[in-house]
Amino acid sequence: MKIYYKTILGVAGFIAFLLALVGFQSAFLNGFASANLILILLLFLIIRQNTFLAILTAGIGGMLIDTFHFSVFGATPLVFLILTLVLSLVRKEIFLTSKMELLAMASIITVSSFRLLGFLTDNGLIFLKGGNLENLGFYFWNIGFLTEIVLTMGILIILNPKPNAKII
Amino acid sequence: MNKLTPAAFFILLLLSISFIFFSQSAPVSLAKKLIIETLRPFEMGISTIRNNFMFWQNAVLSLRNIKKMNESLINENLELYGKVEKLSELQKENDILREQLNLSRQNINVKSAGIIGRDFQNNRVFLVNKGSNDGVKNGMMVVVKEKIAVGKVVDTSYNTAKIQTILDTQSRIAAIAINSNISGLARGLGSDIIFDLIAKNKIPEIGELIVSSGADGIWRRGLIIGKIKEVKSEDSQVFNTAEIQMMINFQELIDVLIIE
Repeated sequence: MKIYYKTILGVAGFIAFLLALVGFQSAFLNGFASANLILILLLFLIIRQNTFLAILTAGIGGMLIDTFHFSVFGATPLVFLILTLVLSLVRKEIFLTSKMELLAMASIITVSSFRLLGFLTDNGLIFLKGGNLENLGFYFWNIGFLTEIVLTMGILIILNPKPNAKII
Repeated sequence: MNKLTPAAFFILLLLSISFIFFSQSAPVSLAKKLIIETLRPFEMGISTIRNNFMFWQNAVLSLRNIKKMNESLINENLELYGKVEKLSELQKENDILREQLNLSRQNINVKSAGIIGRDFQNNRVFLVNKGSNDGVKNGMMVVVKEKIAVGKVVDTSYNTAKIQTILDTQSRIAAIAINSNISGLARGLGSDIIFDLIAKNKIPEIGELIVSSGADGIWRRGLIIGKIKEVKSEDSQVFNTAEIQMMINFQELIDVLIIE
């Protein structure tokens, strides 16, 4: 029973942290720099092998992001959850250690995959509902894409996540 | 925790899919409003910090110019006093003439709103601190000073509203070039806008102002969209297109006006 309460409190605290993080992203960071804090947290948790928290981040963080994102409500958590599944499956191959080059590679793979999945999901939904299809260049051919990779890489290297470290 | 992981994944996956496919239903709208309202205090607090940060950053960076500007503003102010007096006389004269012509003034309901959230760098979506409790409804126009078009309200919560800017790929405005009277369609490309569907035999001038024509029945007539930057006319294309230079920097916006 004690462990049960501990888990609930831990999850509630984590959701409050996600609210603050997304609030900071939307009200402050998006006006200055191109970095997706939820994506960075997701990657950080996957490397640390906290799959449960990574799933919570993907689902709840994605829903929070959709309140100020141009995509259809529900599309971002879907993209995040698919990404979590894919990254968890390939984790053993690419995220075994916290070496700098592997963190850099993980950042490039994650940001690119997120944008590609976002492009496919958004266009799929636009195709179903009708409207102007998105251009692939908008997702990749801009300075924001490169900035996001560099910032993700930088923040991840500073945090230097170690595999097998548990938070809750 | 390991036992909960697959369950949490499938529950959240099902929720996401339900949100997408039943986005118009009442339970999904309610869930969305609850999520937005939960996030609102965080965004309000942080946006206040951001605005203060921006204010002080600009103040420190432009300290040299402030003194010069202050002197010129004092002189300008004195000149304006004289003009205001003249304008009030003209206003009275104008009112009498309007009455005589039996013209009723256009009753535009304007609400000022502060931006509390924005999309990742692209400025395709803004979140403002006015919602359905303040009378904001879907489809309302959003402008800034001098009737410059910003976007329209696409979603409202109790105390917030989501604004789709004119940069969004789903944004289409029936527009007209103000001098040459050439009509077309101002279309968002995500980070830019183009003036599309211009008749092949017509070429607008560079620098010409593009305003909404009101022909689409959605956008009010006369809202400024931007200026013509470059005209593209290719033999293989049925219509001419032109790049539009925007009048405002969307990233610097702090407050907007919502009009009916």
